[in-house]
Amino acid sequence: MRLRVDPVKCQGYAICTEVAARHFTLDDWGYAQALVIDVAEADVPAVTDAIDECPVRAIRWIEGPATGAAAPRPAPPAV
Amino acid sequence: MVAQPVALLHVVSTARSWPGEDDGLLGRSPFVRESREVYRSLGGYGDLSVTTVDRLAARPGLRGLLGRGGAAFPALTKIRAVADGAAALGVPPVVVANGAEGEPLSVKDRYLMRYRPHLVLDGLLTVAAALGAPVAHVYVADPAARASVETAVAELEAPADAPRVRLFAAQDTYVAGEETAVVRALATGIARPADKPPRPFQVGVGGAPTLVLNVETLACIARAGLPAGRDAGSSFLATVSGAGRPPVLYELPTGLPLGELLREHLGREDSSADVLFGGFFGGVLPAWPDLELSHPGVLRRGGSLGCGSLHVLPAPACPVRTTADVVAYYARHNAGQCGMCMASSGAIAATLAELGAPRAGVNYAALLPRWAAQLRGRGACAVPDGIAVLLRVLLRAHPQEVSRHLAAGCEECRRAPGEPRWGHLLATLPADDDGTGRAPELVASGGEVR
Repeated sequence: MRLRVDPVKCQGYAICTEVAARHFTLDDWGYAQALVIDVAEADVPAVTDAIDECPVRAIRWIEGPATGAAAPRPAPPAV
Repeated sequence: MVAQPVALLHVVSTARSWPGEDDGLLGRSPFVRESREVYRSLGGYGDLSVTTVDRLAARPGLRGLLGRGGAAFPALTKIRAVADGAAALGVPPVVVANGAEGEPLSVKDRYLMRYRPHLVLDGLLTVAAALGAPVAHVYVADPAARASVETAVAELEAPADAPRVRLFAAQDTYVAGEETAVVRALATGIARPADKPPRPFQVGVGGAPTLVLNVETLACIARAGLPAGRDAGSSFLATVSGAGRPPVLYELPTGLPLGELLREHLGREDSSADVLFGGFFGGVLPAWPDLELSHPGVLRRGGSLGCGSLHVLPAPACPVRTTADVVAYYARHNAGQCGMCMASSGAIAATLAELGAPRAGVNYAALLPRWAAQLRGRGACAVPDGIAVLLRVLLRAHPQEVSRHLAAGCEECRRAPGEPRWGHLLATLPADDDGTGRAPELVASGGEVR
């Protein structure tokens, strides 16, 4: 499982980067992004806190491994 | 609102097939609207009883067909995902022909809807029938294209059990054609992107799996079903503009080397030029003669073929200036809903614009690659990714130009006009020509027509 910050919702409160610093970072304009890593079992409590404490509820779990996309994405066929 | 500098508009009034592509997407009489009778005489609408996706998949080349809206997603993968999702949920899927064509340098979707509406409708009805979708939507912004499709729908003599076709007047904005914006527009009238996942083929209009396919993709599917039909992905439409030449809508064999196209279009070899690829999405790449014009081919060189448009910059043109022009467009024409996109596009546009006379104490060489990395995959739509591609291509393909700017500034960049500084990067079809001689009706944007 991975994390996704909804860019429509994120207002840059930055609470996620304080509560779960290993999983979120801020861009140069102060908006949050989820680092593209699988969340280890031991980090789930901190990440859950970050999700719960986001004032605009911008963070959610998404399916899929850290290296892939959530959508089915086969290798491009030969053209 | 600043008036558009009309004199700079690239009006595309010529369409040419590459030798051997005569039975292709442009039609045998370019810029003349193809009637239902003529399309039927080619064998069109011959297989509306396609009732399974497997039968559709058997058409030549369909397995390799990449979507033509810009993202190059495999069309059959999307079709199967919608079929599987609808079966799992037990709901009928929704099918949409996406003809919003918000890319300012591309006219190919409007061309197909204005002059080959039956080719598009055949593809749409075939896919809808294969998926068992009761309704097929045509989402179109250009009024002349909408009038032509509306006439084509009225001409249809589809079997009673064929899907019903509904037209939807899309807003004429850059983001209106992004597929989550299409879904929102159909459901709520608000043509703004939504964050993903889920994607429309998972959860779309009214919660139903929704297939949004670009109109050229649908035309390719229909062509592959004609008796004289060709491999669905064998050719693509390319709006080619710039270099002081009249713009041309070409149908090109997939994989054609860029050098061959430019020799035909410019009448000379010119590997010193730069080319803006993929509408505003694919970056400014040098005109490498061996660059292969296909999605994987352009991707290998770091850019994106996107919607297939190529704009040749008039030499000697500055790739930094053009990149700045395009990012300035994004700063103005994003959806205005994601804080990170509004802040970053504005800041990056301003920073690129000042490279004509760089400020002391700003570490541009560190900022530009960092921003390119920070924007990847961030947006609800692809605007931040588009800016990231533009920055990445500028840094990788033009390192000496970038260094020259940082060291000594640039006269061309300093002379670039204020907004709309992208005004030289707009292409269009002849106003209101839908090939029928009939004036298009004016319908308010953002609503259902029928």
